[in-house]
Amino acid sequence: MLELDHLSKTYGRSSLRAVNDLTLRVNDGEFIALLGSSGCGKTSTLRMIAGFEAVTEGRIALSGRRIDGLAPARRRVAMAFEGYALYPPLTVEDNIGFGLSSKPGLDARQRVRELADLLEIGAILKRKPAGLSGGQQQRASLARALARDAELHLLDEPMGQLEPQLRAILRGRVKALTKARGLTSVLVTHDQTEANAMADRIAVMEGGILQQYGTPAELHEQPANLFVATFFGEPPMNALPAIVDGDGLRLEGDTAARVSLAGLPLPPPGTSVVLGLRPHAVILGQGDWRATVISNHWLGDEAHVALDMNGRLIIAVAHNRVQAQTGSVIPLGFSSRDLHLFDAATGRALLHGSRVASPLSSRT
Amino acid sequence: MRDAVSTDGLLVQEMSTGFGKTQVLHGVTLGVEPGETLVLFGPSGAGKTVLLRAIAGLDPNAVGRVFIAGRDVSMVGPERRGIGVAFQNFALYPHMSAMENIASPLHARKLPEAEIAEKVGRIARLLKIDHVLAQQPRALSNGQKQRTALARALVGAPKVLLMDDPLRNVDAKLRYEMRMELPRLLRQAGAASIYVTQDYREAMALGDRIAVLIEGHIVQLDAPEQVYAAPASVAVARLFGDPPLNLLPCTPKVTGDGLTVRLFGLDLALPMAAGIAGRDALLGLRPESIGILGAPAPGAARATLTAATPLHGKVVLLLRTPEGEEILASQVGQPPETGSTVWFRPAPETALLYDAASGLLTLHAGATTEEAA
Amino acid sequence: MAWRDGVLRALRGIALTLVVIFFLFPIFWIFLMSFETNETVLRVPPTLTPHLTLENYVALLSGQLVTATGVMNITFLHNLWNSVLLSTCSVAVALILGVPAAYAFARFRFRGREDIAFTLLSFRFAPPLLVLLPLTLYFQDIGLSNTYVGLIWIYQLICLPLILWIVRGYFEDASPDIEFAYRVDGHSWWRAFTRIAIPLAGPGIAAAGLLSFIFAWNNFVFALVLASADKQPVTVGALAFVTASGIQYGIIAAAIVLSVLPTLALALYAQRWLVEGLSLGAVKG
Repeated sequence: MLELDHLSKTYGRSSLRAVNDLTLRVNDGEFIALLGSSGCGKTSTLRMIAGFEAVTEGRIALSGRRIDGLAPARRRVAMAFEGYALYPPLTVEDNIGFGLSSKPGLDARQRVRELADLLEIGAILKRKPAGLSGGQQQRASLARALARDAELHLLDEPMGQLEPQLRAILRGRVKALTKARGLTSVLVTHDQTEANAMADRIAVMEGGILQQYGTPAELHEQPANLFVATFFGEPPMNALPAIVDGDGLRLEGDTAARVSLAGLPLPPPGTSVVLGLRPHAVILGQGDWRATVISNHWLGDEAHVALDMNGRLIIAVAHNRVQAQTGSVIPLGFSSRDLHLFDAATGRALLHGSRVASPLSSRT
Repeated sequence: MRDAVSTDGLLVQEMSTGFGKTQVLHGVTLGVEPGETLVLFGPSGAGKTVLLRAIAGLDPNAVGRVFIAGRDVSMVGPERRGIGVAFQNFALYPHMSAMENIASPLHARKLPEAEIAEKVGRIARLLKIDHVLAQQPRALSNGQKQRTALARALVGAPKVLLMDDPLRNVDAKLRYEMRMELPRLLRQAGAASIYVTQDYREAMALGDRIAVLIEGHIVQLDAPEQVYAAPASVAVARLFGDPPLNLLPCTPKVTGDGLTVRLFGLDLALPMAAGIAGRDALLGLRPESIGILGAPAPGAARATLTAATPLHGKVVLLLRTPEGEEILASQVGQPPETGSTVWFRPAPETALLYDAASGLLTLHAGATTEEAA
Repeated sequence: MAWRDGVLRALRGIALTLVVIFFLFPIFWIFLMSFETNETVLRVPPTLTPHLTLENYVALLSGQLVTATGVMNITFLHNLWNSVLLSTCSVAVALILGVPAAYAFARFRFRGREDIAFTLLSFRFAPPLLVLLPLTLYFQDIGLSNTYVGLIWIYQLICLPLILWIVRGYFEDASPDIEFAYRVDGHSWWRAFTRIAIPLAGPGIAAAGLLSFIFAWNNFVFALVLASADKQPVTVGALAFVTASGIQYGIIAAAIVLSVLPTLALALYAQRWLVEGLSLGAVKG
């Protein structure tokens, strides 16, 4: 088990915390992802776990053993670097097998070959890194990290150079491999699709602070705050500022657009909130609201419609073609089950559907 | 082939280039009308960036003709072609402010300062970067850098606009917003635009037409819906669609007026004219066209659901038939229990048939006069 | 483990001090010598006690040295001027030739590119003695012996390789897309070179120029052989103090201090650029 306790990192004399009081547990055999946009602190966290950055505050423990004071080589951690870091004079085969000592029951060459085939680089095992493309080098680096039986496997954007097709295939294979061998893994990525597909739990970070740590389903259905809610999902969630009024909400600046939410635990009237509605949850063609169609694209298997409602942009996704011309006004609505409510000041989630957002659902 | 003299937009004829012994582009030909956005779509290494650079005049090895607004600019340097380029890595001048970056094309034309200030101000307001004009590129976020690069490309009202995957390095939220704004911007600009991307949805949302470039050849040039509904080759079919198209080996037989294919113990009647019967073929089935049922039904086969992965509002189901074949299906809503038995009905009405040897699309439903390859 | 950190830091400090003393002591000693007369310098055992005098500096600057055998005219100031002239002009010429050449090596592909680059670089580590004798003869033949032009030309052997090596790295590091963008905007190739490529390689060019200046200034052998008294830089000029009445250590030391001062000041002023210029240009990822 990997334990991060109140981990913080500042660089040099800056008072800006790249990682701010991060507490997190990864269970044995679990595959988790650190997800966020660039600069959110995920890479700094990974580097602290690996030992390439000193910990400013807090502690890191692996299998009960405190590791934050140890040199990287003594931590029993394997890492796939974003910059590949392959050894130039060695062939790919030797790179992958580097550090694989012959343990009883372990055929190193066999494992190297199997891994290479899994990542579709079996044909270049005898080549040296200099002659390979970025994507091939990246896969060799990933194979090297996965070859060892370390206590923890750290993967830093391991498939960024690969095309979407290959990525989708390899993701599934790598996930299956880690499960079969029971490897505990931490993935760092800015790609939510990757995190969704591979991780058992995802830790969303922004500005060095952990926003939410939960399964992909939890993050999607019960986002702890507005950041997580709008971060997940493509197209991003519609966030509409509104004010609580009586037993419902009134959209800001639009007295006509009202939502009745009788029976739900709403904050006191007058509170500024943000109404969150996923594009797939918007129902076009029926409902109390009216909006003008800005664009309507059929993308092969779904329709993406952009609408303007009194100056507010709303994006809707439908799984059938939508017969709506640009410029026409159409009704739209949604089910209260699909509604999310956030506090406008703090961004914290208040309601998901009919359930009050639990303040504890975001923690470890 | 369009008449080179009468076209008002961009015409590229037989563009070929390479370096050393490698040939990257093989006789690429395409034309773009003013106001039209042609999306150049293809996997990495296909030659998309190389083609853009050749059109811009930045490739000394390129052979082929380029016509812009009726003028042959093949021998003319990039500075005199009248094009605007938005690079993937922005290529902003780091030692100049955003304002000076955007003004660069206007300075080159030696316009008066007042006019330059006015034009720059206007486009900056349009792209919502007017408040950061005084700053240098290193102080800007990726999204602001991207819009500065776009402003620079647009400010001179070029006849031809080349955009090399400009949204690739921008984070997801902003990328979607810009995807919504771009078509309006481009239409206003009125230039003949080429937009490069590897994301098929972006291609479909932004393009009036899509040119699919694979290994230096244009393999398909069609409206977006056509490319999705009838990808010209197996390679295109694999790239266009997420989750990707199922491609199942089969041998079609002639029955009566049409073709039948036997798969999963079912006889699927394909509404196409005969032509490829007897040869090895690949049947293309889109995941969203496969119906999932809880109970046996005519035309449906049995399978086990081995995995269900959520993907943007729908669920991708991995089915495994008793014979061990794997099929991807997708649907909206709660999937059945993983590991359970389901019945799936492939939809032959929207199926595609590819010749296994050449990889080319032979026939698809709705095709009347297309001949087998 | 705090105490361990403390001990490590102390050890590091001691090691640094020892290294600093090792390298700086000779310089310090010379500095001290420059304020002493020959008598004090040659006393055994050596002493650090101050017995300071400014007569060495006075002699250098006034141009007159009073020794036991009479008054000697010193051309030190003239030598200093020669150094300044030679170094500055050599670096200027090397920059004018080298920067465009570095650009060509970085941006264009042509046959023999790496071979030519390597050949030019090899001049840096070829021993000057290799070419000195033939050069002396040729120079005499073409009348360039003992001329500023001849010396500046020869100094290119010192300056050009450095500039090519460092500045090429800088041009290679800068993305060519930025220059492409400038050309697409409508500017000519030349403007892209002068307004974009050169400013962006600025730190590298400055560093290379500074280093070349220092190396040109320090050159001894070429100036010794190819120049006579009136064109000699300070490096050679110091030899004059090896007189018939003995070696004037004090004056030599003073001459050294004065001749090192300009380059030392330059290096101190621009040390950040030098480090940046050397490390960035040299490491090509």
